[in-house]
Amino acid sequence: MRVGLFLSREDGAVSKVLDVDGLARSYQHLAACHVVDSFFGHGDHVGVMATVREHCLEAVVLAGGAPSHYEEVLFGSRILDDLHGAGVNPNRVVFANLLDLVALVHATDPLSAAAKARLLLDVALARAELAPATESISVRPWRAVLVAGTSPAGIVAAATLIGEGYHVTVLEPHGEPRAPAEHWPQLGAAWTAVLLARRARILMESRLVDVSGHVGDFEVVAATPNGEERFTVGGIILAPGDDMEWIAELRGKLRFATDCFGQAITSSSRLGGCTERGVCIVQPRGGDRLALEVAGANAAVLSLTALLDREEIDYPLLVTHVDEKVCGGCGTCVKTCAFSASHIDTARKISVIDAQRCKGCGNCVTACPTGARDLVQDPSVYVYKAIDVLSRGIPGSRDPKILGIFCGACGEAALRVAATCETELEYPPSMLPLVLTCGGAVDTEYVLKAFASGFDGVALFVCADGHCRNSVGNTDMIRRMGVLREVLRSRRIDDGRLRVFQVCPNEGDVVRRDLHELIGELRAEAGR
Amino acid sequence: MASRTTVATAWLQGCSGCHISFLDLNEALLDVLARVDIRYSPIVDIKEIPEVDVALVEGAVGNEENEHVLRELRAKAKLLVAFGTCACYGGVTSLRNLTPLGEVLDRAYVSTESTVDGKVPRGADIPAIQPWVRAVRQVVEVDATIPGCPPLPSIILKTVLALLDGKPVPQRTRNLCAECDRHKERMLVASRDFIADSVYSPHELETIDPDLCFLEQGVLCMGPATCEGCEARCMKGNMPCRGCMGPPPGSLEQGAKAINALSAILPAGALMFRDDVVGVGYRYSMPISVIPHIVSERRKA
Repeated sequence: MRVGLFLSREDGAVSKVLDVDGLARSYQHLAACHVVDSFFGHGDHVGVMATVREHCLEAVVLAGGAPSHYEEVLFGSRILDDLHGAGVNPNRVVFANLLDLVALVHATDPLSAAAKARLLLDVALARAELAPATESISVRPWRAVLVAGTSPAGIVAAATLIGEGYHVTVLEPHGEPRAPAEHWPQLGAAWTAVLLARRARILMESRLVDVSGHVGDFEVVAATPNGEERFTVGGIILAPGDDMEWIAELRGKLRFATDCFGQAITSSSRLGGCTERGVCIVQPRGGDRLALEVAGANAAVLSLTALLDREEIDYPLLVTHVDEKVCGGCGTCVKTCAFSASHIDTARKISVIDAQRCKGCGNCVTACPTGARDLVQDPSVYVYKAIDVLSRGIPGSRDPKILGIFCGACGEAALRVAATCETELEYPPSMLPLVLTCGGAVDTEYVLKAFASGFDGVALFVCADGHCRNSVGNTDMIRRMGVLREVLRSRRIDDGRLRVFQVCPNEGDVVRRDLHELIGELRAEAGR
Repeated sequence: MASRTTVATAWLQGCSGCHISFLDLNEALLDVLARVDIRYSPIVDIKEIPEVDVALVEGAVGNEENEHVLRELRAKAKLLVAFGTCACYGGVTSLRNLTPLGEVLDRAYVSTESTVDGKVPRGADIPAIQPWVRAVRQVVEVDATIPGCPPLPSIILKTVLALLDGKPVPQRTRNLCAECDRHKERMLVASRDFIADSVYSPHELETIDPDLCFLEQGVLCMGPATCEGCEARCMKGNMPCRGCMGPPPGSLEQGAKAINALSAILPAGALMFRDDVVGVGYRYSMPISVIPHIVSERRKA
């Protein structure tokens, strides 16, 4: 495997703490290893792509900022597209977040920070080596969009899409549009345009029953006063306004994270943001509300049409095919899936995955007692290797060694926020983070493996109750860990060394506090 | 006579049940004996271990003598077979890994209710007990395994005949549900409802439907987290699986896999596996689990 490592100084933010060039020197054995100022600079971008092509790299580690940065920022997603175009499989573009997880939090301890950076780079390289190439399915996108909600953003988005030549279905649970009365003078024309358009269909007093499929090709089932309606759309815009109840209901159908106020998480750089490609949420708050709603609607329309105007869209399969030599058809995958994506072929006693429904959360992979399935993003062989690598720890550190496993939604976001939030509570470099896609993907074997590898504590950070974008990833993990405690006690390991913390994505201070307290307790215990 | 395959069988730390199961081949034993020449065995009075073609080893390794015999057999046998669950995975005998050695010896020789003036026996002629019990394959390389507590005579026959004929031994890769004929209803319905409202021991139920999946009847069954290969004989006798065939090869350990699988489909009462997580999950496979024994002294930072 030809793996390339690109280290970013992040315009000084990383290189202020870490000797980036020194780090690069210890990875000269790789097919390529280069240092850039920022992945978002034009010159550096060209340089990176030239290196990838010159060395025919099959896997690439981008060490700089947070992974989500690259998906959110327009220029960032260009890097991903270009890498894909240069023949690097999307699943083999791996990120090492040296900015938030090392440079910003351990600025006062450059020696340990360097050691931790090396561990995180080794983990990222392990993933580059071990992650299987994803298979992609290509679809010709439907030029049709579902706009759920008639907040001002919904009305504007629907009218704009119609103007762009799209078919639009507007769905609203109430009997009339939800835009506040004071905004009608500005919105009346747009709403009339939607009402009169031949390419628009309006479903009032209707609810979303089911959504399956992927970007470009979503199959939607709606309950309307005239009965059930099924239709196909290429993309979805959610503009539920302040209807919290409906937001909670939608969350179960379309994967998005919510913060501790029940608001959908939309990052500032991406007004129409969502975890699922092809689904945008517009839910602004504060400020000049109408202006923000219109801006959000425009951003959502832009990002959707940029996708749906393409001839073809690829989407990756996220769970491996079922290993038919291993699967015994027991049915645990059927029971654990929150998206009804598994069923058993009873004649062959084999489990079958419905790729149109699978979200790649990993809950069935964890539940499968035979190991017949694996996650494409976090294959178990990689996770074991990562735990091995991290267990080397920080040389010379006298602090308790903690493995922090963070879910890819709330946990990872909170960890990033923890880098810059205002709190005096610190955690030492010996807290070694590992990000998995969802709490549901945390196998009890991983925790046992961590303790067997010499970690003093394991801290799991997942979403708060009801906030998991995969509906049950956090609660199923908590159930599993509850039983696992008994196993730890049987081996005479204090089960207090295994902690589960539920955080919201904005609660960086809570992450710092929880880790600070856990480390304090473990320190006190070691001192006895 | 010279053309017959020479065989040794040994009995390490175990209950001899595997040897008994071998005798349960009944008349098929005559066919086997016509082809083999047993040179060393608990049932043959020979003290020296000779060179043999095949060695069947029953039991786990728990003391110095066990290890000595095993290593000598490995050196002198062309093929070494881990015979029975204790040899393959550690088995019931290895549950002592959850108790410090001192307490184990005290309970065995001193503190039992019927013992008066008990003493832990010591002496040069007594093999030293080892701190942890290990499976045979954790001590020496193994060429084939015949798991089961005890192994089914038909499986013993199939494996032994395959070895005698130089053919591949039977492969086991799936979980027990693949072999079990009981039908499933709720397990196959894509809904997040629990498949049973509570969990029972078989004796607590007046009737157990002999054709329906045990888990759906609220009876804890280790089948999903257990390797196939036993022809689902307990289920045919209307008893749930206890997991003696060990974990399926695709999983690291049986107990953690059982927790992963069952805790999402059974209600809270079942979560604690009827207050015996370890007994249910690790009864047969303690030494090959990720943390194979108690952690005696945590590393001081």
